[in-house]
Amino acid sequence: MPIAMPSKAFVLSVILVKTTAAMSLNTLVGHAGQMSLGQGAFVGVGAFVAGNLAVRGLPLPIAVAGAAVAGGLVAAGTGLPSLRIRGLQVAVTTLAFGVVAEKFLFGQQWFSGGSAGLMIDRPVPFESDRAMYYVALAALGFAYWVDMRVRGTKAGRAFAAVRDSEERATSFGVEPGPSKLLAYTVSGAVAGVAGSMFIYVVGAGTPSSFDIYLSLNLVAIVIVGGVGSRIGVLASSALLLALPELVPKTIGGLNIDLGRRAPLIAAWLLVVVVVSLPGGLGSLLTRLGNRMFGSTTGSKDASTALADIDPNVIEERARAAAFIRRVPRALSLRMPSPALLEARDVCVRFGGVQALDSVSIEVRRGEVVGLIGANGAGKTTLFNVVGGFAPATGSVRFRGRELLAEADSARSGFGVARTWQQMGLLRAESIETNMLLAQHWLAAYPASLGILGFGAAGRTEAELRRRAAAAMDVFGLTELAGQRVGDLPYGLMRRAEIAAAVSAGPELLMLDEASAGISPEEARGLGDEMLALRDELELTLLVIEHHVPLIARVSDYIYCLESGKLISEGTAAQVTTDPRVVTSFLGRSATVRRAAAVALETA
Amino acid sequence: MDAGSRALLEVDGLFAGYGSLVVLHGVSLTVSKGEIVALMGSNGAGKTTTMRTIVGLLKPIRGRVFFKDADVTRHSPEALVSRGLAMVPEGRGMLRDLTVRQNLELGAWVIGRDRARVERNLERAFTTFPVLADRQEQLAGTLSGGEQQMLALGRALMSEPELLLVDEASMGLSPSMTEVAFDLIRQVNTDLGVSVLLVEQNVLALELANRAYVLEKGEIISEAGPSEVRDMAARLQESYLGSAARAARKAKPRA
Repeated sequence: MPIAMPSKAFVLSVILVKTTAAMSLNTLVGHAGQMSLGQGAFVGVGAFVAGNLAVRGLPLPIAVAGAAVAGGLVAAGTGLPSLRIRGLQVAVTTLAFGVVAEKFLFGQQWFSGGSAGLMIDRPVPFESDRAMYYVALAALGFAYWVDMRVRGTKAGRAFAAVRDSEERATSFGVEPGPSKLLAYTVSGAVAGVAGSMFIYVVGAGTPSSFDIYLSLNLVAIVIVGGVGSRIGVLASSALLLALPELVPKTIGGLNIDLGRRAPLIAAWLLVVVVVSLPGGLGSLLTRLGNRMFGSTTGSKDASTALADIDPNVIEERARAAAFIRRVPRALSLRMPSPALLEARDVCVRFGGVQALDSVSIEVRRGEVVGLIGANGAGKTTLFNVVGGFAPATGSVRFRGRELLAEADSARSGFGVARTWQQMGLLRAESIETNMLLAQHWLAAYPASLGILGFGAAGRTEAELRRRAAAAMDVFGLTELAGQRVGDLPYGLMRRAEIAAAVSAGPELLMLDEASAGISPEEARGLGDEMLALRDELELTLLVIEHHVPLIARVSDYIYCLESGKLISEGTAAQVTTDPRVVTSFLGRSATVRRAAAVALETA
Repeated sequence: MDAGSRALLEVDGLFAGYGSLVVLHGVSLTVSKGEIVALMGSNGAGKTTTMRTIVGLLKPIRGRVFFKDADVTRHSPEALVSRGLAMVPEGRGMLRDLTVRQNLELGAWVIGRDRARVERNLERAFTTFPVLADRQEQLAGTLSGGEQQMLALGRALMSEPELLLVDEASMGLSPSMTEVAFDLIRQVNTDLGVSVLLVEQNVLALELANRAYVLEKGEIISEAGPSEVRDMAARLQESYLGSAARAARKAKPRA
């Protein structure tokens, strides 16, 4: 570079490069919830790889692609520990990588030209600062596009699920390990592109260009912008990087060099934004946007029960239901026994506690089977065994296939879906996103290619959206599609969770205390819904319930557990009058017993 | 209650909400010394909002809260706890990684450094709930549902409250465990003389309440005195039973 005042295009290009790097971090932290304190090192790897390729005379596009590949590979390697450890520990390992990269890797003569650094000349059409500015702008556009694609495809939903709870992610059919590595790879690749832009814009790179300070700066930009917000990243870059550069060094003879004070200003802004705007600049902009252009997310209360929906649309609903049920099955439909699910002698031990002791149950196609028992009896543990979350011995056969030998995430593909006691949906995401996530196993395209829009991604996504729309239609949630699950009233949240489970096209739906925390009227609606699920959607249900009238009414067959052992089974009439069930589950309350009796009389 | 002496807790015309969303529209209720009062209502009726406003976690838009003859409307939750008003939150708010004993000692936070008093209260909690004494070194997260309920109540009692606010004690409990939880509450009331405001949607709560209010859409729509509470129980039970009574379908017998 000639020693002269840097042009405005040059200054802006550097800012664009840093913004690109911040966007790559946003993809990792915002969508996948994985912290990287070594993002600057990924940028550095990209810079030196591109630099080396450029020095050898390779054209810019090849150098950029090489930087992306190198950044992605290195980031994936750095992300490996995240398969075993979580949160802060992962952050520390990325920090360690950042330090090692700066002190060791970037000091190697062959890689970075040692402490003197690596110098390159800009190739022919991009010699001018202005031309390079447009290239850097395109790179930022690319980073923005990747972040957007991640958010809108299978990969981003998998990232969000893993971020929320790895256990629940597997119940959606998401494999946490590969998802995390993919997140690191994508983020590293984009950081690599940012690095290649750096070396082309600046024309030189030294180890200190990619020190830990750069990494922390990128973290600050993402946090001030509001983690996960693309617009926020742009806004905070403008505020933290561009503003200090663009303000003139002197105003009216006063020397106010904001550039020199930039770190101080950034530090203050960080404190102010984090304290007063937990959602970052992004949330502020979204709110302003909503106010100016009118909010699209009115809170509508669609509290009609499934069974109360206009009978005239039943035919339409049946069509939608049939559409949802149309899924490819990995298993043949021939079954050796009438049982859809057959658990034999299932035992689970947690430390010294025998959570399940030789439990055998059978769920036949088209049945609603109740699972009752006092708290701690092992009901949810049995669900977890079927879902693959509890280490069990014995046998659990689903349509004749031994489930205990299968990977956790394979089960949704076989046709098992469940709800959770503590809400299994992602509260921060919309109903529609949750519906798409629940259909993860149906999204057959590779997550990585989906981000780039290759393969059948577009077509598959459209198909999933149609299925989600059909499920929302059946459950009366269409008008709430864009609502955040966390903003819904409790009863609707429950319904959305069932709808999401159904949208995956299961054969067996397991409901864990669907009636907990809902009113008696809502519980009645829920009973109607369960029967509709059985009769209209032809689902088989296994339900954990404490609500006696509900369970007595809907169950074809009931199993009662006590301290991990099966103490009673039979029809509602048999089980609710079994003295052991009365002692263990029903209790002595006259109301509860009358409820059971009434339910049976009318049944 | 005449004008001179107020009830132990008196809530007068409470309006409260979140941001622009007003949830409570003039809720008034009282709890007198020694009473168990139930505040019934379904989801979204405003039960938890009422409770949060009473204990100072939420500032009311309008209305007043009196506790022991003093206006405590805008007092902090800590100030209320040290005045003798303790809350047992929904989900029991246990610190799972602390032992039973540590959880209980946290409940005595407002008592401060008076070790003898803390020990006395611990002793009292252990006598009331002997299971907790047996498990005092066990981590709270490893307790069963019923034991956690005991711990939650025991912890609330550590601050020597005169009034206990219990939010949805029956949530997620089987009918038999719900009975256990309600028995514990009754025991705290009769043995220790602590007044109780029960916020519930489970009709079984009316079996132990002296009086009751029904909250709907942020308003008290009916209340029942000592002689009427059984009637109210019967009425609400109908809606509970209704889900059974409406059943008109046969279970498919297994071959």
